[in-house]
Amino acid sequence: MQPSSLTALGGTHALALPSIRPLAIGIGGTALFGFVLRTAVTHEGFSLTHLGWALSLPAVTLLAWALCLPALYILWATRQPGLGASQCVHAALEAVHTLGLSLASTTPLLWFFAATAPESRISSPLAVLFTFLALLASGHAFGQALHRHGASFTGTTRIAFLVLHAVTFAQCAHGAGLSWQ
Amino acid sequence: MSTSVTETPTPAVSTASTPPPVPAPPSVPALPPSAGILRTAEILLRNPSAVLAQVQAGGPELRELPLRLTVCALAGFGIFGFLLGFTRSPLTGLTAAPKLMLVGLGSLAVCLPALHVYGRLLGARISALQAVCEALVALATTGLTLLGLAPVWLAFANTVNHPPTGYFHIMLGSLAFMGVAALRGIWVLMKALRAQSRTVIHLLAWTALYGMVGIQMAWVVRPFVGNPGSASVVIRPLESSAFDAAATLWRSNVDTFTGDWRPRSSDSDTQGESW
Repeated sequence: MQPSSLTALGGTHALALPSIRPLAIGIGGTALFGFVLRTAVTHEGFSLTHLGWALSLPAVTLLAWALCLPALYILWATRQPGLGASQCVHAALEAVHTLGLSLASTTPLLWFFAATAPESRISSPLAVLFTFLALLASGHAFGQALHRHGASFTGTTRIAFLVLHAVTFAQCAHGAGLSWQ
Repeated sequence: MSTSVTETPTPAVSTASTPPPVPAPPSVPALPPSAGILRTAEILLRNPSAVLAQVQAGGPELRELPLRLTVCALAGFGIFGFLLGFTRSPLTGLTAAPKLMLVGLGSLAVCLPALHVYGRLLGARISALQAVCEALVALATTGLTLLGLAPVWLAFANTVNHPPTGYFHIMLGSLAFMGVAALRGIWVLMKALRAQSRTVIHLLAWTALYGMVGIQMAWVVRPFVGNPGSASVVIRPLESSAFDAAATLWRSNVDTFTGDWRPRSSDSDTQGESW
């Protein structure tokens, strides 16, 4: 069965790509969303802070994975036959790729409302919704990638890890000064 | 005129060694542009699933399909836009037509990346061009529905367009007409995708987003008709949001039915809620 990951966009399998490309796409998409998120939240014109948010959001994404992956590896992956650290990192890379693509695809929507309805409060809930959906999508891609390596990443383990990752992401974002309101 | 959905002739004698004939995918044939557009419109009305099956099959014919579907959609939006503005004056109709075309196509452009990416995530094995074609099928169906509703709209507008409250009924009626047309467009798309055993749940969420973007874009390029109490302008400055204005429009309609409606004394208020 073909994986339903977004990395198959354009007909090329993710694992056939140089590892830098999905990472670059993921970081680029996340940075784009971070830039527009600043506009949506503050309704300010372009400033250096926008660039700060554009850099912070990808950094937060990578940091959240870096913090959560060791826990997953120690507590779960070591008990899975044939699953090593490199496979976990590869799956995380795919998840970052999917997160970036998902966020980038909703960036035009967020920008549109931020630009045309600056007095409205609709941008903020939309930004939260789009981020939540993107995190869900990246978690799904992570699970699919592990499944392709023969691991069964389902049930309680999956839910617990995805919740841990989401909480870590939110905590890191808060620490970096990013806000969705 | 016949549709272009080709049927494979059944062989007179079938042998055990001959595999059963595989039905050829329905095609939108290569024709001169004007004839191709009319043919595409006809197939879209008679058998939209055939167009979507053609999209799913892919191939070089798919390159011309987006243009044909876009023309079908723009024709419907343009004519309905003209009739909408025509309730005030022919000149307003001429300015409203391109605005409604922009709303339909512009909203699609804003929403399309999300549709494609989340569609892929949910298992749709389609290219970006195929995603564009599928969305355009829904938009073209919406446009053709608006075209079909145009005579009904004329009768409706003629009935309710009486000062001082006719403007509010016209605006609410236009939202209802366009809502019905949009729902039909998305229904046709969902039905065809379900026939292909494709996931359609994301289409519901996407439709809600598309509706929000469309309403806000319509607010940005307003007025389509213009409040009779205000001067005619091509584009009004950006004020509040479409959702605040929709709430005001709803209250005004309710007030006219309950007899509580009074003309507003503040010019800015009047202009702010004018579509």
